[in-house]
Amino acid sequence: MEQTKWKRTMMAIEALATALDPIHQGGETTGTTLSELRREKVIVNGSVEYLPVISANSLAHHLRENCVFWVLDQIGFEHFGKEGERAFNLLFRGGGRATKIGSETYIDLHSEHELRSLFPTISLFGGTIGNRMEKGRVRVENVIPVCVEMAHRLPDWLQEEASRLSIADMLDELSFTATDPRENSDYRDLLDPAIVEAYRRDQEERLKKDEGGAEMKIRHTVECFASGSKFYVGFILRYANPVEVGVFLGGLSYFASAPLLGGKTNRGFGRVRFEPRQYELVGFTRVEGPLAVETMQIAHEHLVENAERIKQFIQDGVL
Amino acid sequence: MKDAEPLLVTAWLRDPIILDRNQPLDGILAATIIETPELREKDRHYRHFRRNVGKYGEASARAYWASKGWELPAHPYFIPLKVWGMGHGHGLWVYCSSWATVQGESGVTYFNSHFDIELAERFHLRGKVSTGKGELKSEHIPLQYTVTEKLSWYVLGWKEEIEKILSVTYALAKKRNRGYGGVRKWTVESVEEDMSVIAPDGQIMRPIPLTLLEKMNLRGNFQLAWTTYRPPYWDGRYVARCAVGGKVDRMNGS
Repeated sequence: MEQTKWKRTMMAIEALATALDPIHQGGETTGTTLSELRREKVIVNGSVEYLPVISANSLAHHLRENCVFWVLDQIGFEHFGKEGERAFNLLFRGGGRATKIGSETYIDLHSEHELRSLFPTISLFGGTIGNRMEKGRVRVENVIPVCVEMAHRLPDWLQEEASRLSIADMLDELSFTATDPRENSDYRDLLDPAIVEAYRRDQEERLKKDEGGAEMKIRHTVECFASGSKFYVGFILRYANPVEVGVFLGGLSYFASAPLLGGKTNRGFGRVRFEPRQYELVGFTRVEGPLAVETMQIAHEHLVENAERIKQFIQDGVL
Repeated sequence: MKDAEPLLVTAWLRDPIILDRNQPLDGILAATIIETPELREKDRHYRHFRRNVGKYGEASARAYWASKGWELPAHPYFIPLKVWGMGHGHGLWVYCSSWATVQGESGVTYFNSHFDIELAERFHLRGKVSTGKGELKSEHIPLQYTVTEKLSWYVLGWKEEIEKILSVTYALAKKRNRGYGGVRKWTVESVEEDMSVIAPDGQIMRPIPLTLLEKMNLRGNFQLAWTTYRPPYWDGRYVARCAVGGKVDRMNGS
Protein backbone atom coordinates (compact mmCIF):
# COMPACT_ATOMS: atom_id res chain seq x y z
CA MET A 1 0.00 0.00 0.00
CA GLU A 2 1.32 3.41 -0.93
CA GLN A 3 2.14 5.48 2.13
CA THR A 4 0.49 8.88 2.21
CA LYS A 5 2.31 11.79 3.87
CA TRP A 6 -0.19 13.55 6.07
CA LYS A 7 0.56 16.23 8.60
CA ARG A 8 0.22 14.75 12.07
CA THR A 9 -0.91 16.94 14.92
CA MET A 10 -0.99 16.90 18.68
CA MET A 11 -4.45 17.95 19.72
CA ALA A 12 -6.77 17.92 22.70
CA ILE A 13 -10.53 17.65 22.57
CA GLU A 14 -12.28 18.63 25.76
CA ALA A 15 -15.84 19.13 26.86
CA LEU A 16 -17.92 20.15 29.80
CA ALA A 17 -20.61 17.50 30.16
CA THR A 18 -23.72 18.47 32.10
CA ALA A 19 -25.77 15.60 33.51
CA LEU A 20 -29.39 15.55 32.34
CA ASP A 21 -30.08 12.40 34.40
CA PRO A 22 -28.41 11.06 37.54
CA ILE A 23 -25.04 9.48 36.71
CA HIS A 24 -23.90 6.20 38.27
CA GLN A 25 -20.90 3.96 37.80
CA GLY A 26 -20.87 1.02 40.17
CA GLY A 27 -18.11 0.41 42.66
CA GLU A 28 -18.26 -1.18 46.09
CA THR A 29 -21.47 -2.35 47.74
CA THR A 30 -22.45 -1.40 51.28
CA GLY A 31 -24.42 -4.14 52.99
CA THR A 32 -26.32 -5.87 50.24
CA THR A 33 -28.50 -3.04 49.08
CA LEU A 34 -26.46 0.16 48.57
CA SER A 35 -24.51 0.32 45.34
CA GLU A 36 -21.84 2.99 45.80
CA LEU A 37 -20.16 5.00 43.07
CA ARG A 38 -16.77 3.81 41.82
CA ARG A 39 -14.13 5.63 43.88
CA GLU A 40 -10.46 6.43 43.61
CA LYS A 41 -7.98 7.90 46.02
CA VAL A 42 -7.36 11.57 45.35
CA ILE A 43 -5.02 14.00 47.13
CA VAL A 44 -7.04 16.97 48.41
CA ASN A 45 -5.03 19.70 50.15
CA GLY A 46 -2.28 17.25 51.02
CA SER A 47 -4.48 14.49 52.46
CA VAL A 48 -5.76 11.42 50.67
CA GLU A 49 -9.52 11.11 50.19
CA TYR A 50 -11.57 8.41 48.50
CA LEU A 51 -13.71 10.24 45.92
CA PRO A 52 -15.96 9.18 43.05
CA VAL A 53 -14.53 9.37 39.52
CA ILE A 54 -15.99 7.83 36.36
CA SER A 55 -13.37 5.67 34.70
CA ALA A 56 -11.71 6.62 31.44
CA ASN A 57 -12.00 2.99 30.40
CA SER A 58 -15.79 3.19 30.22
CA LEU A 59 -15.69 6.41 28.19
CA ALA A 60 -13.03 4.92 25.90
CA HIS A 61 -15.34 1.97 25.27
CA HIS A 62 -18.24 4.27 24.30
CA LEU A 63 -15.97 6.23 21.96
CA ARG A 64 -14.40 3.14 20.38
CA GLU A 65 -17.83 1.66 19.77
CA ASN A 66 -19.18 4.84 18.18
CA CYS A 67 -16.08 5.26 16.00
CA VAL A 68 -16.50 1.67 14.74
CA PHE A 69 -20.19 2.32 14.03
CA TRP A 70 -19.19 5.41 12.05
CA VAL A 71 -16.54 3.53 10.04
CA LEU A 72 -18.82 0.59 9.28
CA ASP A 73 -21.54 3.00 8.15
CA GLN A 74 -19.11 4.67 5.75
CA ILE A 75 -18.20 1.37 4.08
CA GLY A 76 -21.68 -0.13 4.31
CA PHE A 77 -20.74 -3.19 6.36
CA GLU A 78 -23.32 -5.05 8.44
CA HIS A 79 -22.54 -8.77 8.48
CA PHE A 80 -19.52 -10.15 10.28
CA GLY A 81 -20.51 -13.66 9.27
CA LYS A 82 -19.22 -16.97 10.62
CA GLU A 83 -15.50 -16.17 10.62
CA GLY A 84 -15.87 -12.63 11.88
CA GLU A 85 -15.88 -13.10 15.65
CA ARG A 86 -12.19 -12.25 16.06
CA ALA A 87 -12.53 -9.11 13.90
CA PHE A 88 -15.71 -8.16 15.76
CA ASN A 89 -13.99 -8.62 19.11
CA LEU A 90 -10.95 -6.67 17.95
CA LEU A 91 -12.94 -3.75 16.54
CA PHE A 92 -15.48 -3.35 19.33
CA ARG A 93 -13.45 -4.40 22.33
CA GLY A 94 -9.82 -4.11 21.31
CA GLY A 95 -9.22 -7.85 21.06
CA GLY A 96 -7.91 -10.26 23.60
CA ARG A 97 -4.49 -11.76 23.97
CA ALA A 98 -4.01 -15.34 22.82
CA THR A 99 -0.48 -16.61 22.90
CA LYS A 100 -0.01 -20.10 21.55
CA ILE A 101 3.43 -21.64 21.26
CA GLY A 102 4.34 -22.01 17.61
CA SER A 103 1.43 -19.92 16.35
CA GLU A 104 2.00 -17.06 13.97
CA THR A 105 0.95 -13.55 14.77
CA TYR A 106 -2.06 -12.77 12.66
CA ILE A 107 -0.57 -9.71 11.01
CA ASP A 108 3.09 -9.34 10.06
CA LEU A 109 4.99 -6.40 11.47
CA HIS A 110 5.69 -4.98 8.01
CA SER A 111 1.97 -4.41 7.52
CA GLU A 112 1.72 -2.10 10.55
CA HIS A 113 1.02 0.85 8.26
CA GLU A 114 -1.62 -1.11 6.36
CA LEU A 115 -3.34 -2.18 9.57
CA ARG A 116 -3.41 1.36 10.98
CA SER A 117 -4.52 2.77 7.63
CA LEU A 118 -7.36 0.32 6.99
CA PHE A 119 -8.52 0.16 10.59
CA PRO A 120 -8.16 3.68 12.01
CA THR A 121 -10.18 2.73 15.09
CA ILE A 122 -7.44 0.26 16.10
CA SER A 123 -4.86 2.93 15.44
CA LEU A 124 -6.82 5.35 17.64
CA PHE A 125 -7.83 3.13 20.55
CA GLY A 126 -5.25 0.35 20.35
CA GLY A 127 -5.83 -3.37 20.35
CA THR A 128 -4.38 -6.83 20.66
CA ILE A 129 -3.95 -9.03 17.61
CA GLY A 130 -2.78 -12.50 18.51
CA ASN A 131 0.20 -11.87 20.75
CA ARG A 132 0.90 -8.43 19.37
CA MET A 133 -0.16 -5.18 21.03
CA GLU A 134 -1.07 -2.08 19.02
CA LYS A 135 -0.66 1.16 20.93
CA GLY A 136 -3.50 3.63 20.54
CA ARG A 137 -3.08 7.30 19.70
CA VAL A 138 -5.89 8.61 21.90
CA ARG A 139 -5.44 9.28 25.58
CA VAL A 140 -8.82 9.30 27.28
CA GLU A 141 -8.96 11.25 30.51
CA ASN A 142 -10.93 10.11 33.54
CA VAL A 143 -14.35 11.79 33.69
CA ILE A 144 -13.72 14.25 36.50
CA PRO A 145 -16.58 15.86 38.47
CA VAL A 146 -16.18 19.64 38.33
CA CYS A 147 -15.79 20.51 42.01
CA VAL A 148 -13.33 22.16 44.34
CA GLU A 149 -11.78 18.86 45.50
CA MET A 150 -10.83 17.95 41.93
CA ALA A 151 -9.64 21.42 40.88
CA HIS A 152 -6.02 20.28 40.45
CA ARG A 153 -7.15 17.68 37.89
CA LEU A 154 -9.12 20.18 35.80
CA PRO A 155 -7.94 22.56 33.06
CA ASP A 156 -7.71 26.32 33.61
CA TRP A 157 -11.00 27.11 31.87
CA LEU A 158 -12.92 25.08 34.47
CA GLN A 159 -11.25 26.45 37.62
CA GLU A 160 -13.91 29.08 38.30
CA GLU A 161 -16.72 26.59 37.75
CA ALA A 162 -14.95 24.11 40.06
CA SER A 163 -14.62 26.64 42.89
CA ARG A 164 -18.41 26.88 43.25
CA LEU A 165 -19.24 23.32 44.34
CA SER A 166 -18.01 20.68 46.72
CA ILE A 167 -18.33 17.05 45.72
CA ALA A 168 -20.69 16.49 48.67
CA ASP A 169 -23.20 18.83 46.97
CA MET A 170 -23.20 16.68 43.84
CA LEU A 171 -23.89 13.29 45.43
CA ASP A 172 -27.33 11.81 45.84
CA GLU A 173 -28.87 8.46 46.75
CA LEU A 174 -31.84 7.08 44.86
CA SER A 175 -33.84 4.09 46.07
CA PHE A 176 -35.79 1.54 44.07
CA THR A 177 -38.08 -1.27 45.09
CA ALA A 178 -38.37 -4.68 43.51
CA THR A 179 -41.42 -6.76 44.46
CA ASP A 180 -41.58 -10.52 44.23
CA PRO A 181 -43.92 -11.18 41.25
CA ARG A 182 -45.68 -13.89 43.29
CA GLU A 183 -46.87 -11.11 45.63
CA ASN A 184 -48.41 -9.14 42.82
CA SER A 185 -52.14 -9.89 42.34
CA ASP A 186 -51.89 -8.90 38.65
CA TYR A 187 -49.61 -11.87 37.96
CA ARG A 188 -51.30 -14.48 40.14
CA ASP A 189 -53.71 -15.62 37.48
CA LEU A 190 -50.73 -16.40 35.27
CA LEU A 191 -49.04 -18.62 37.84
CA ASP A 192 -49.71 -22.25 38.64
CA PRO A 193 -51.89 -22.27 41.84
CA ALA A 194 -49.50 -24.85 43.34
CA ILE A 195 -46.63 -22.36 43.05
CA VAL A 196 -48.66 -19.61 44.72
CA GLU A 197 -49.72 -22.01 47.48
CA ALA A 198 -46.12 -23.16 48.09
CA TYR A 199 -45.03 -19.53 48.26
CA ARG A 200 -47.75 -18.71 50.84
CA ARG A 201 -46.75 -21.70 53.00
CA ASP A 202 -43.12 -20.63 52.85
CA GLN A 203 -44.00 -17.09 53.90
CA GLU A 204 -46.15 -18.32 56.82
CA GLU A 205 -43.34 -20.57 58.06
CA ARG A 206 -40.88 -17.71 57.84
CA LEU A 207 -43.20 -15.50 59.88
CA LYS A 208 -43.61 -18.26 62.52
CA LYS A 209 -39.84 -18.54 62.81
CA ASP A 210 -39.71 -14.76 63.11
CA GLU A 211 -37.63 -14.47 59.93
CA GLY A 212 -40.03 -12.05 58.29
CA GLY A 213 -41.19 -12.16 54.69
CA ALA A 214 -37.74 -11.28 53.53
CA GLU A 215 -38.25 -11.91 49.84
CA MET A 216 -41.50 -10.01 49.37
CA LYS A 217 -39.99 -6.61 48.65
CA ILE A 218 -36.40 -5.60 48.11
CA ARG A 219 -35.40 -1.99 48.43
CA HIS A 220 -32.06 -1.13 46.88
CA THR A 221 -30.25 2.17 46.79
CA VAL A 222 -27.94 3.62 44.20
CA GLU A 223 -25.41 6.34 44.96
CA CYS A 224 -25.19 8.75 42.06
CA PHE A 225 -24.24 12.21 40.88
CA ALA A 226 -27.36 14.37 40.88
CA SER A 227 -28.65 15.57 37.53
CA GLY A 228 -27.18 18.99 36.76
CA SER A 229 -23.72 17.87 37.92
CA LYS A 230 -20.91 18.87 35.62
CA PHE A 231 -18.01 16.76 34.43
CA TYR A 232 -14.79 17.33 32.57
CA VAL A 233 -14.34 15.02 29.59
CA GLY A 234 -11.02 15.11 27.74
CA PHE A 235 -9.06 13.35 25.01
CA ILE A 236 -5.53 13.86 23.70
CA LEU A 237 -4.88 12.72 20.13
CA ARG A 238 -1.14 12.18 19.70
CA TYR A 239 0.10 12.55 16.15
CA ALA A 240 -3.12 11.40 14.57
CA ASN A 241 -3.35 11.88 10.79
CA PRO A 242 -6.43 13.52 9.21
CA VAL A 243 -8.13 10.15 8.60
CA GLU A 244 -7.76 9.21 12.27
CA VAL A 245 -8.94 12.65 13.40
CA GLY A 246 -11.89 12.37 11.00
CA VAL A 247 -12.85 8.93 12.32
CA PHE A 248 -12.53 10.17 15.90
CA LEU A 249 -14.75 13.17 15.20
CA GLY A 250 -17.19 10.91 13.31
CA GLY A 251 -17.42 8.67 16.36
CA LEU A 252 -17.65 11.71 18.62
CA SER A 253 -20.54 13.05 16.52
CA TYR A 254 -22.37 9.71 16.94
CA PHE A 255 -21.60 9.77 20.67
CA ALA A 256 -22.68 13.41 21.01
CA SER A 257 -26.04 12.72 19.37
CA ALA A 258 -27.09 10.74 22.48
CA PRO A 259 -24.21 10.93 24.94
CA LEU A 260 -24.30 8.62 27.93
CA LEU A 261 -21.93 8.34 30.88
CA GLY A 262 -21.68 5.52 33.39
CA GLY A 263 -24.07 2.65 33.93
CA LYS A 264 -27.79 1.94 34.42
CA THR A 265 -28.45 3.78 31.17
CA ASN A 266 -31.50 1.59 30.47
CA ARG A 267 -33.03 2.71 33.78
CA GLY A 268 -33.10 6.49 33.42
CA PHE A 269 -29.46 7.18 34.28
CA GLY A 270 -26.59 8.57 32.27
CA ARG A 271 -27.75 11.18 29.75
CA VAL A 272 -25.49 14.25 29.47
CA ARG A 273 -25.29 17.40 27.37
CA PHE A 274 -21.95 17.65 25.71
CA GLU A 275 -20.17 20.45 23.82
CA PRO A 276 -16.66 19.62 22.61
CA ARG A 277 -13.85 22.12 22.08
CA GLN A 278 -10.65 21.50 20.15
CA TYR A 279 -7.16 22.69 21.08
CA GLU A 280 -3.79 22.35 19.45
CA LEU A 281 -1.19 21.35 22.01
CA VAL A 282 2.10 23.23 21.94
CA GLY A 283 3.97 21.62 24.79
CA PHE A 284 1.67 22.07 27.78
CA THR A 285 0.06 25.19 26.27
CA ARG A 286 -3.31 24.93 24.55
CA VAL A 287 -4.39 27.00 21.54
CA GLU A 288 -8.12 26.81 20.92
CA GLY A 289 -9.30 26.36 17.34
CA PRO A 290 -12.40 25.21 15.48
CA LEU A 291 -13.30 21.52 15.40
CA ALA A 292 -11.58 19.97 12.38
CA VAL A 293 -14.84 18.67 10.90
CA GLU A 294 -13.38 18.77 7.37
CA THR A 295 -11.27 15.73 8.31
CA MET A 296 -14.47 13.67 8.47
CA GLN A 297 -14.78 14.06 4.69
CA ILE A 298 -11.13 13.00 4.23
CA ALA A 299 -11.77 9.96 6.42
CA HIS A 300 -14.96 9.15 4.53
CA GLU A 301 -13.18 9.27 1.16
CA HIS A 302 -10.28 7.15 2.45
CA LEU A 303 -12.62 4.51 3.87
CA VAL A 304 -14.82 4.37 0.77
CA GLU A 305 -11.73 4.03 -1.44
CA ASN A 306 -10.49 1.08 0.67
CA ALA A 307 -13.89 -0.38 1.53
CA GLU A 308 -13.43 -3.65 -0.37
CA ARG A 309 -10.03 -4.35 1.20
CA ILE A 310 -11.38 -3.63 4.69
CA LYS A 311 -14.34 -5.97 4.17
CA GLN A 312 -12.02 -8.65 2.77
CA PHE A 313 -9.75 -8.39 5.83
CA ILE A 314 -12.73 -8.86 8.15
CA GLN A 315 -14.45 -11.64 6.19
CA ASP A 316 -11.28 -13.67 5.60
CA GLY A 317 -10.78 -13.80 9.35
CA VAL A 318 -7.24 -12.44 8.86
CA LEU A 319 -7.58 -9.94 11.68
CA MET B 1 28.69 21.07 23.00
CA LYS B 2 27.71 22.00 26.57
CA ASP B 3 28.57 19.51 29.26
CA ALA B 4 25.93 17.51 31.10
CA GLU B 5 24.92 18.71 34.57
CA PRO B 6 23.35 17.08 37.64
CA LEU B 7 19.61 17.71 37.65
CA LEU B 8 16.51 17.02 39.68
CA VAL B 9 13.55 16.29 37.38
CA THR B 10 10.04 16.38 38.85
CA ALA B 11 6.75 15.32 37.27
CA TRP B 12 3.79 17.00 38.96
CA LEU B 13 0.96 14.55 38.52
CA ARG B 14 -2.70 15.19 37.81
CA ASP B 15 -3.93 11.60 37.99
CA PRO B 16 -3.04 8.50 40.00
CA ILE B 17 -0.24 6.51 38.39
CA ILE B 18 0.06 2.77 37.75
CA LEU B 19 3.71 1.91 38.35
CA ASP B 20 4.70 -1.69 37.80
CA ARG B 21 8.34 -1.03 38.68
CA ASN B 22 10.57 1.67 40.10
CA GLN B 23 10.62 3.73 36.96
CA PRO B 24 13.89 5.42 35.89
CA LEU B 25 13.61 8.53 33.70
CA ASP B 26 15.64 7.10 30.79
CA GLY B 27 12.76 4.73 29.89
CA ILE B 28 10.28 7.62 29.83
CA LEU B 29 12.57 9.78 27.68
CA ALA B 30 13.22 6.88 25.27
CA ALA B 31 9.50 6.11 24.91
CA THR B 32 8.71 9.75 24.15
CA ILE B 33 11.48 9.93 21.53
CA ILE B 34 10.19 6.81 19.81
CA GLU B 35 6.55 7.95 19.90
CA THR B 36 7.19 11.54 18.70
CA PRO B 37 7.81 11.89 14.93
CA GLU B 38 9.97 15.05 15.24
CA LEU B 39 12.19 13.56 17.95
CA ARG B 40 12.47 10.31 16.00
CA GLU B 41 13.61 12.30 12.95
CA LYS B 42 16.20 14.04 15.11
CA ASP B 43 17.43 10.68 16.36
CA ARG B 44 17.85 9.43 12.77
CA HIS B 45 19.84 12.61 12.04
CA TYR B 46 22.03 11.92 15.08
CA ARG B 47 22.67 8.31 14.01
CA HIS B 48 23.63 9.55 10.55
CA PHE B 49 26.13 11.90 12.20
CA ARG B 50 27.60 9.12 14.37
CA ARG B 51 28.02 6.90 11.29
CA ASN B 52 29.95 9.71 9.61
CA VAL B 53 32.09 10.17 12.72
CA GLY B 54 32.88 6.46 12.65
CA LYS B 55 33.79 6.45 8.97
CA TYR B 56 35.57 9.77 8.51
CA GLY B 57 36.41 11.06 11.99
CA GLU B 58 34.81 13.72 14.21
CA ALA B 59 36.44 16.77 12.56
CA SER B 60 35.52 15.67 9.05
CA ALA B 61 31.95 14.85 10.04
CA ARG B 62 31.56 18.24 11.76
CA ALA B 63 32.94 20.06 8.72
CA TYR B 64 30.56 18.19 6.43
CA TRP B 65 27.61 18.98 8.72
CA ALA B 66 28.61 22.66 8.79
CA SER B 67 28.91 22.78 4.99
CA LYS B 68 25.36 21.42 4.69
CA GLY B 69 24.08 23.87 7.28
CA TRP B 70 22.70 21.01 9.40
CA GLU B 71 22.27 21.26 13.15
CA LEU B 72 24.93 19.38 15.09
CA PRO B 73 23.64 16.90 17.69
CA ALA B 74 23.45 18.61 21.09
CA HIS B 75 24.49 15.46 22.94
CA PRO B 76 26.31 12.25 22.01
CA TYR B 77 23.71 9.62 23.01
CA PHE B 78 20.23 8.49 21.98
CA ILE B 79 18.82 9.93 25.22
CA PRO B 80 20.20 13.27 26.51
CA LEU B 81 21.64 11.59 29.60
CA LYS B 82 25.26 10.71 30.31
CA VAL B 83 26.14 7.04 30.45
CA TRP B 84 27.92 5.33 33.32
CA GLY B 85 30.25 2.34 33.13
CA MET B 86 31.00 2.51 29.39
CA GLY B 87 34.10 0.48 28.44
CA HIS B 88 34.03 -1.90 31.41
CA GLY B 89 32.29 -4.77 29.67
CA HIS B 90 30.33 -5.21 26.48
CA GLY B 91 26.91 -3.54 26.68
CA LEU B 92 26.86 -3.26 30.46
CA TRP B 93 26.69 0.53 30.76
CA VAL B 94 23.63 2.30 32.19
CA TYR B 95 22.12 5.75 31.71
CA CYS B 96 22.64 8.28 34.50
CA SER B 97 19.12 8.35 35.90
CA SER B 98 17.98 7.32 39.34
CA TRP B 99 14.81 5.42 40.09
CA ALA B 100 11.76 7.59 40.71
CA THR B 101 11.28 8.78 44.25
CA VAL B 102 7.62 8.23 45.13
CA GLN B 103 5.76 9.06 48.30
CA GLY B 104 2.09 8.25 48.21
CA GLU B 105 -0.71 5.84 48.95
CA SER B 106 -1.75 2.83 46.94
CA GLY B 107 -5.15 1.64 45.85
CA VAL B 108 -6.54 -0.99 43.51
CA THR B 109 -8.52 -0.31 40.36
CA TYR B 110 -10.09 -2.81 37.98
CA PHE B 111 -10.21 -2.92 34.20
CA ASN B 112 -13.14 -4.86 32.81
CA SER B 113 -13.92 -5.93 29.29
CA HIS B 114 -16.27 -8.48 27.78
CA PHE B 115 -17.43 -9.76 24.43
CA ASP B 116 -20.64 -7.85 23.66
CA ILE B 117 -23.16 -10.56 22.81
CA GLU B 118 -26.04 -8.12 22.23
CA LEU B 119 -23.97 -6.16 19.73
CA ALA B 120 -22.75 -9.36 18.08
CA GLU B 121 -26.37 -10.35 17.41
CA ARG B 122 -27.00 -6.95 15.84
CA PHE B 123 -24.11 -7.52 13.41
CA HIS B 124 -25.39 -11.00 12.46
CA LEU B 125 -22.52 -12.84 14.09
CA ARG B 126 -23.47 -16.52 14.20
CA GLY B 127 -22.06 -19.60 15.85
CA LYS B 128 -20.86 -20.53 19.33
CA VAL B 129 -18.59 -18.12 21.14
CA SER B 130 -16.54 -19.13 24.14
CA THR B 131 -16.10 -16.25 26.57
CA GLY B 132 -14.63 -18.40 29.32
CA LYS B 133 -11.20 -18.84 27.75
CA GLY B 134 -9.04 -17.75 24.84
CA GLU B 135 -8.99 -14.36 23.20
CA LEU B 136 -12.73 -13.72 23.66
CA LYS B 137 -12.49 -14.27 27.43
CA SER B 138 -14.12 -11.70 29.70
CA GLU B 139 -11.63 -9.86 31.86
CA HIS B 140 -11.63 -8.25 35.30
CA ILE B 141 -8.04 -7.17 35.80
CA PRO B 142 -6.87 -5.61 39.07
CA LEU B 143 -4.09 -3.04 38.87
CA GLN B 144 -2.46 -1.24 41.75
CA TYR B 145 -2.27 2.54 41.41
CA THR B 146 -0.38 5.06 43.49
CA VAL B 147 -1.78 8.45 44.32
CA THR B 148 0.98 11.00 44.76
CA GLU B 149 1.58 14.65 43.96
CA LYS B 150 4.92 14.14 42.24
CA LEU B 151 7.62 11.77 41.05
CA SER B 152 11.27 12.90 41.17
CA TRP B 153 14.45 11.67 39.52
CA TYR B 154 18.12 12.58 39.89
CA VAL B 155 19.81 12.57 36.50
CA LEU B 156 23.05 13.67 34.88
CA GLY B 157 22.18 15.12 31.50
CA TRP B 158 21.60 18.01 29.13
CA LYS B 159 18.91 20.23 30.66
CA GLU B 160 17.52 21.92 27.54
CA GLU B 161 17.26 18.68 25.59
CA ILE B 162 15.55 16.93 28.50
CA GLU B 163 13.06 19.81 28.79
CA LYS B 164 12.26 19.58 25.06
CA ILE B 165 11.42 15.89 25.31
CA LEU B 166 9.42 16.29 28.52
CA SER B 167 7.37 19.11 26.98
CA VAL B 168 5.55 16.46 24.91
CA THR B 169 5.39 13.81 27.65
CA TYR B 170 1.82 14.11 28.88
CA ALA B 171 1.42 10.85 30.76
CA LEU B 172 3.56 8.18 32.41
CA ALA B 173 3.66 4.47 33.13
CA LYS B 174 0.87 1.95 32.61
CA LYS B 175 -2.63 2.62 31.28
CA ARG B 176 -1.65 6.13 30.28
CA ASN B 177 -4.23 6.08 27.48
CA ARG B 178 -6.94 5.25 30.02
CA GLY B 179 -6.77 8.17 32.40
CA TYR B 180 -3.78 7.23 34.56
CA GLY B 181 -0.38 8.88 34.99
CA GLY B 182 -1.37 12.29 33.58
CA VAL B 183 1.23 15.02 34.14
CA ARG B 184 0.28 18.63 34.97
CA LYS B 185 3.77 20.07 34.51
CA TRP B 186 7.45 19.20 34.57
CA THR B 187 10.21 21.01 36.43
CA VAL B 188 13.93 20.47 35.76
CA GLU B 189 16.27 22.04 38.34
CA SER B 190 20.05 22.07 38.61
CA VAL B 191 21.43 20.45 41.76
CA GLU B 192 24.92 20.51 43.23
CA GLU B 193 25.72 16.82 43.51
CA ASP B 194 25.23 14.03 41.03
CA MET B 195 22.99 11.38 42.60
CA SER B 196 21.90 9.69 39.40
CA VAL B 197 23.66 6.30 39.69
CA ILE B 198 25.51 6.22 43.00
CA ALA B 199 24.88 8.92 45.59
CA PRO B 200 27.87 10.60 47.28
CA ASP B 201 27.28 8.46 50.39
CA GLY B 202 27.57 5.33 48.19
CA GLN B 203 23.82 4.57 47.96
CA ILE B 204 22.82 2.67 44.79
CA MET B 205 20.19 4.81 43.05
CA ARG B 206 19.20 2.59 40.10
CA PRO B 207 19.74 -0.97 38.84
CA ILE B 208 23.39 -1.57 37.93
CA PRO B 209 24.56 -4.95 36.54
CA LEU B 210 26.56 -6.75 39.22
CA THR B 211 29.14 -7.76 36.59
CA LEU B 212 29.72 -4.10 35.81
CA LEU B 213 30.26 -3.25 39.47
CA GLU B 214 32.72 -6.14 39.77
CA LYS B 215 34.59 -5.08 36.64
CA MET B 216 34.80 -1.56 38.05
CA ASN B 217 36.06 -3.00 41.31
CA LEU B 218 33.17 -1.52 43.30
CA ARG B 219 32.22 -3.63 46.26
CA GLY B 220 29.63 -3.20 48.92
CA ASN B 221 26.57 -4.56 50.65
CA PHE B 222 24.12 -4.73 47.72
CA GLN B 223 20.50 -5.79 47.42
CA LEU B 224 20.34 -7.92 44.28
CA ALA B 225 17.55 -8.64 41.80
CA TRP B 226 17.14 -9.88 38.25
CA THR B 227 15.91 -6.81 36.44
CA THR B 228 16.29 -4.68 33.31
CA TYR B 229 19.00 -2.06 33.50
CA ARG B 230 18.47 -0.11 30.29
CA PRO B 231 15.45 0.93 28.19
CA PRO B 232 13.27 -0.48 26.79
CA TYR B 233 12.54 -1.83 30.27
CA TRP B 234 10.05 -4.41 28.98
CA ASP B 235 12.73 -5.96 26.79
CA GLY B 236 14.43 -9.15 28.02
CA ARG B 237 17.72 -8.32 26.26
CA TYR B 238 18.84 -6.07 29.08
CA VAL B 239 17.90 -8.27 32.01
CA ALA B 240 20.80 -9.09 34.35
CA ARG B 241 21.52 -9.69 38.00
CA CYS B 242 21.66 -6.12 39.23
CA ALA B 243 22.39 -4.21 42.37
CA VAL B 244 19.12 -2.43 43.11
CA GLY B 245 19.90 -1.08 46.56
CA GLY B 246 22.49 -1.03 49.30
CA LYS B 247 25.74 0.90 49.43
CA VAL B 248 29.09 0.89 47.69
CA ASP B 249 31.99 0.56 50.17
CA ARG B 250 34.40 2.89 48.43
CA MET B 251 34.12 5.07 45.35
CA ASN B 252 37.22 4.28 43.33
CA GLY B 253 36.10 3.33 39.88
CA SER B 254 33.49 5.74 38.58
